Amino acid sequence: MPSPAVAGTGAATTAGAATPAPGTRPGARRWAAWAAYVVVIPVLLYLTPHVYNNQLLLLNLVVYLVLAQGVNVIYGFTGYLPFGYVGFFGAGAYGTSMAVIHLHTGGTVAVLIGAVVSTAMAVVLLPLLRLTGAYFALASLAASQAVYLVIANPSLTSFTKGPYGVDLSRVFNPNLAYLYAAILLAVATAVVVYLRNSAFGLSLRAVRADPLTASVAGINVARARGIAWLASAVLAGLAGGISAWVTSVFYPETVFAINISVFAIVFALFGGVGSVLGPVFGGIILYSLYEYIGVSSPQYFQFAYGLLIVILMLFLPGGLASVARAARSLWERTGGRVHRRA
Amino acid sequence: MTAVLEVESLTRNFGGLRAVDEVTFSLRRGTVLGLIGPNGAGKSTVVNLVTGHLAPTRGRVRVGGRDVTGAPPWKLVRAGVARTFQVVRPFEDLTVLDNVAVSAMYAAGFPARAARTTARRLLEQVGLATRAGDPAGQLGVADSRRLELARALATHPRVLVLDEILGGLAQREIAAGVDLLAALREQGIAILLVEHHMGAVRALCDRVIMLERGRPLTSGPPAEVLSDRRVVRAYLGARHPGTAP
Ligand SMILES: Nc1ncnc2c1ncn2[C@@H]1O[C@H](COP(=O)(O)OP(=O)(O)O)[C@@H](O)[C@H]1O
Ligand SMILES: [Mg+2]
Repeated sequence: MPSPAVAGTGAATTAGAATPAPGTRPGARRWAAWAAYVVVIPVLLYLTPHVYNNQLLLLNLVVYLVLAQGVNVIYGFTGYLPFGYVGFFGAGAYGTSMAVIHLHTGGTVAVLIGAVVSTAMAVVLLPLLRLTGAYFALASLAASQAVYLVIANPSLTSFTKGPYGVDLSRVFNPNLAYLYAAILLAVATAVVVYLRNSAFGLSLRAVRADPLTASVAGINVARARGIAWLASAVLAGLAGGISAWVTSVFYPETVFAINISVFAIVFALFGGVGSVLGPVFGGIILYSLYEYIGVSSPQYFQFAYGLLIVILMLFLPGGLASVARAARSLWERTGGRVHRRA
Repeated sequence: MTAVLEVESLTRNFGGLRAVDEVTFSLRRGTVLGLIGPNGAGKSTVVNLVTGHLAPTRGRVRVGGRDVTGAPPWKLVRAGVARTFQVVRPFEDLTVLDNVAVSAMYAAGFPARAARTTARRLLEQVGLATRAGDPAGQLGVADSRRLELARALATHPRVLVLDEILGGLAQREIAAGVDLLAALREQGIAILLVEHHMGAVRALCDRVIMLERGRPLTSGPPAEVLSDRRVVRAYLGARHPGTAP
């Protein structure tokens, strides 16, 4: 095959969109902004216990922000809505617990083993990606509940402690766990930054827009989706492991609650999937709301957030991030410099 | 010189229907093979068979001498077989530039920056440079066809498989399209041209195969095939030649 001529043309200077599309190389200033998002928010959250003395609540928040970013990775970039996302969280929690209980590891190693377990589960569930739309959402939910039923099965009590729950108080170390959670949030956000700016992220958006066209563009569609799926599972597994480590004493239904999926999804959708910061802000807002209003009557919130998912998908699929983008372009058109489309 | 695309006894059934029946042809570098026939004759099915979207019931497909029968589309496109869709399918929410660049990255293996440079050059070539930053979903019919072509070219193809790329275009746009395709042929790209517009077929093709109900009815130089009584009758029976779907 002859090598194609790569000739620069005059057109090269004409492309100057306000926001670079995914896959473009952002300038140094934009990289600095991305780096700040990745680092500053987790650092602020890490320091918050010094002013707001409820580390456990904050840890739960950070764990949810990680899960929201995980949903962002799989739903925002591939279009697969993972109602069974909690399955990876629970698998991570139980993988961590089994490591502590049976392998007598410390917390750090246990959390990593938990992530390996959730990743293994994601590998087994790769065929689910052949389903689409609601079928995928339901099948992933069914898969997560199947794992739950196996773990909670009384006949496995000697290994999983069955329905009686686990006790990890031997390795209890909330400060270290909180540090890990903050680092994990930075990693999750970095993953989204990568997807927003890399060729791979662009290929995922292409697959999401039209898998058939993506295949004739040379993209191995199954592989691209699979990588996003595994990445989101690793994030959830680590989040589950850290959460288990801090919760210390819990039951299968604690870490396999469908609510965990619902919350992660609504936080991501509300903030805006496909964006870097949307799920973080969406999570902070809705989780705070839940903690201050909803704790007394959580069942209403579970219903309200489930309903909110439907409303957002129907009427505001881009979430807060799309509102912010619209506001900014309005501002530029009216207040800022005149902005004309070619 | 060996053929870049060879198809041998290609056959495809859909249940009891034989949509493509014993189709054999080969395509050399820098030549254009026309595939004509009434609607439902099996032209798009041939396209899907040679681009990996369908597996043949029987028969072989070879690219550059290598057997690629049954390989998936993304492998075929990396092997040098690019296609366009009869009904355009852009990545609607991606920019026109990214639509093309993603092909250059994944099918031709360019790094991101070089892929964008290539994409800009191709947009210039097909006359879409001014729309580079717009979402592809905003393009009209003619521009969408240009985008399909640019996306296919960005894969750095040895063979272009074009499924009614001139369909639905105005006369002036068809003339521009014919010029563009003639230039690609001069570059050495082989083209399998599925087309209803007989003027375009006559202007571009070295050889033409006429399909009817999946079977090759006749083949040869365009002047010969297009004046064949059976071809004229098949076309007039189904639809008026020269009009687009
Ligand atoms: N995926 C499919 N499943 C079943 N039948 C099909 C499929 N694709 C095409 N056909 C049938 O095969 C025949 C040839 O179709 P097609 O290749 O699209 O014809 P053309 O492109 O020449 O108009 C038609 O009868 C069509 O209905
Ligand atoms: Mg057709």
